Amino acid sequence: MISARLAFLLGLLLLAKTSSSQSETADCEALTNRILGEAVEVRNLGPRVNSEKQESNPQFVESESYLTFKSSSADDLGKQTVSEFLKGQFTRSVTIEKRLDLLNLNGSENGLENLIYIDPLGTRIVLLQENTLWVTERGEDGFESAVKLPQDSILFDYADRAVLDPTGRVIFFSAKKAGDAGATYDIYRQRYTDGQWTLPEVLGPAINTEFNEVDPKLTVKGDLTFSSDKPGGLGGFDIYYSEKGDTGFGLPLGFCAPVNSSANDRHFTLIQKQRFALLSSDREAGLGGFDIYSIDVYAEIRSECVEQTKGVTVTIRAQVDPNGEPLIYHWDFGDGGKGEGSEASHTYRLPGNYRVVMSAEDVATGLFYPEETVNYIPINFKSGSTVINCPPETTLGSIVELTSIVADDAPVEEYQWSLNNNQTSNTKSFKADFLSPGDQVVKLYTSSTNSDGIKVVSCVQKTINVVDPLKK
Amino acid sequence: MGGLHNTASAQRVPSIAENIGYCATFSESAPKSWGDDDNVQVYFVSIAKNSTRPFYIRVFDADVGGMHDMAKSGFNSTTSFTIYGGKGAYSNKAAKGVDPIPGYDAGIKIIERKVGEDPKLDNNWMTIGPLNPKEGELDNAMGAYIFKFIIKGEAGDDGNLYHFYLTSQADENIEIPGSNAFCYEMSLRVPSNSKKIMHLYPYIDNDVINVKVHNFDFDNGGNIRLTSVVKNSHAVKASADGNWVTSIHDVSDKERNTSFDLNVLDAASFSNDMTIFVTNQYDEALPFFTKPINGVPKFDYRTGYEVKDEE
Repeated sequence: MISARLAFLLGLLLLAKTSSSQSETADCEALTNRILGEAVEVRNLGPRVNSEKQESNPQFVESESYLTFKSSSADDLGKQTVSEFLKGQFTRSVTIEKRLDLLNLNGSENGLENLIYIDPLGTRIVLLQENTLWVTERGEDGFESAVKLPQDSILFDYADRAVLDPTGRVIFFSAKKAGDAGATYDIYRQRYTDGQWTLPEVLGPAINTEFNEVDPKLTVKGDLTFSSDKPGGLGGFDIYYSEKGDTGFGLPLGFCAPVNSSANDRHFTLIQKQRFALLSSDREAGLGGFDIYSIDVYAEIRSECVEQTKGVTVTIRAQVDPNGEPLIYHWDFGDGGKGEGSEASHTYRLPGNYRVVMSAEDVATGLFYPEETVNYIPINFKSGSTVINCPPETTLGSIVELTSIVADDAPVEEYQWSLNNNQTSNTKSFKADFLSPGDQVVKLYTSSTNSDGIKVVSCVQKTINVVDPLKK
Repeated sequence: MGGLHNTASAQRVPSIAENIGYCATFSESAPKSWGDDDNVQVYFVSIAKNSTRPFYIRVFDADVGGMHDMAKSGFNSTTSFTIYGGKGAYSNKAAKGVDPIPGYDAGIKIIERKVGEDPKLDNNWMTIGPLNPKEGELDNAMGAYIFKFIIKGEAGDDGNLYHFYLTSQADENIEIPGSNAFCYEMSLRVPSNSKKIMHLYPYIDNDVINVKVHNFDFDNGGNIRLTSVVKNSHAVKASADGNWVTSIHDVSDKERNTSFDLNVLDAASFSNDMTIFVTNQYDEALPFFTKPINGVPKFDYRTGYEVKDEE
């Protein structure tokens, strides 16, 4: 009886543990899918970038498309190294001194060995020199004199990565108390207010633990990524992601494999514009020590294809003089549409600024008073919405130009046309053949990157009736 | 026929905006039913008072004969073209009337030309001038020297159809900056083109409470409409053959210090001549300006629109 009770309790315990593990797995999969997409593949950047040395702390300058990272071996202090990103591939890396022209860092070479952060625009740098953080930004004549960040009475040992927020007025870094053998690295923050940097403040327990938290990095959205060797991961340091909320950073979630591994996975950097991520890891099958790896980002928001809106309807009216002779009001809506009456409605199929002209016809004489009044009516479709501009009907065998119009001239990065007769195109306009009678569905997918750096794919479809003149 | 390339920018009387092809002045023995009630057309020409350069009046088809004009039984008529300036030319009350009552020709006669049938002037230009702007009568309210141009049908029974230009050149029609022309009664040729709308622009000053529109010998040939900033195509009584009719139209605050637009629409397929004038509540004639004061009035349609949500 006792053993049965014990077995029952053990069963409950096992069930709870399994349930917790399943929950964590679900969380990490959801995170990975949301940030990076499904079918994530982690690729070693190969011998052009990596070596048997330690390659770590990759920083990607998006404006100039180059990678800079630290390459070091046991017998040197490490070299700051660069590799250009050309046509989707990284070039052979060289030491940073050889490419000061590329980096537009002429005159700023001093201390570049101590670079631990450069922003995506290549305009702000953080240096770690003599166990002190220095911040500098580019002025008209190159980088200005670096500003030393104040420290409080507790001396720090800094880790090798920091990050500035997009304003350059908040810095995150990782450090531990110097001289304390049991100290671990935590993530700190300092702010620039009232003309000076504040003292460091440690982030709360949602981020920091009794283990090591290092490698802070911010996403476009302002979320925090970092690495930690706290328990619950896949082994060694794992990469975590914490969303920025109204009251601070939320509970961090770890990425699943293959982003994280049983080895040490660090220095995660999400390059959202170019849609890939970088990390450094000493996982197996590398070239030796820490190597730099890339991950293609497939995450996107894809919406169902929707039927194109019929348009925007405008009702226009003119004042009538009750004592005047009967007039017929004629409206030219500026898109070929006509209307009649002191009040008339018209539906615009495309956005634009339309010149609407009213003329009055004297009923008794049949004479027109032309262009009595002109209005310009701006027709705006839902911001960012896409419209397929083409006739609703065409003749069998004809070629029709399909044009896309995007409301507000919202930026579109990719176009993808798809017809149900298997014709496709990836241009903004597309001349399509219609060789089968009946309803032909035209789909247009447009891609753009939202403010969170996530690819958004929208789809609109329109049906064109292809008429066979012989059967009409 | 020199200078036609510049005519578009010169001051044509009647003006391009009025869309009236010809003034019509008939000689004394012409039937009244032809459309001219008194054989006299009086125009006033205003020249900005700071103008110092001489100017000219160039009359197109001043003769009575050949093209454009109306013969009763062969041309036998004479028309006089006389320009008056000096005191009384404009200020004399009789000058601002619609009938040639005594005093209508007050002022100093500056120049007079009498023209009968003359092939050299037929379908061609007759230049009157040069005229010194200071010879006009200064009207401080208008800030201009005013000349009076009387076209009078003398002996004969034919109709003279003509128009003229105010110009700074003797042989070319070149606009005189700041010039204008106006009259208090108009005898005119109504075109046979039924799609053509003629416009007359009486000026409504601040004292006008209502207007009476008088017209003569429209032959029931069409319609007359009145448009202003607040009136949209009000019907004006149109006269029959050889008679006068009058219609009264109230004036609102918004219409004061603006011009009315009298639209004359002829539905007849033949040419017709008529006379028209407008008076205020005191039966004082109101001037028709070739360049409408404060612009061509447009009815305020107050168009507005609403945009519905996407369907």
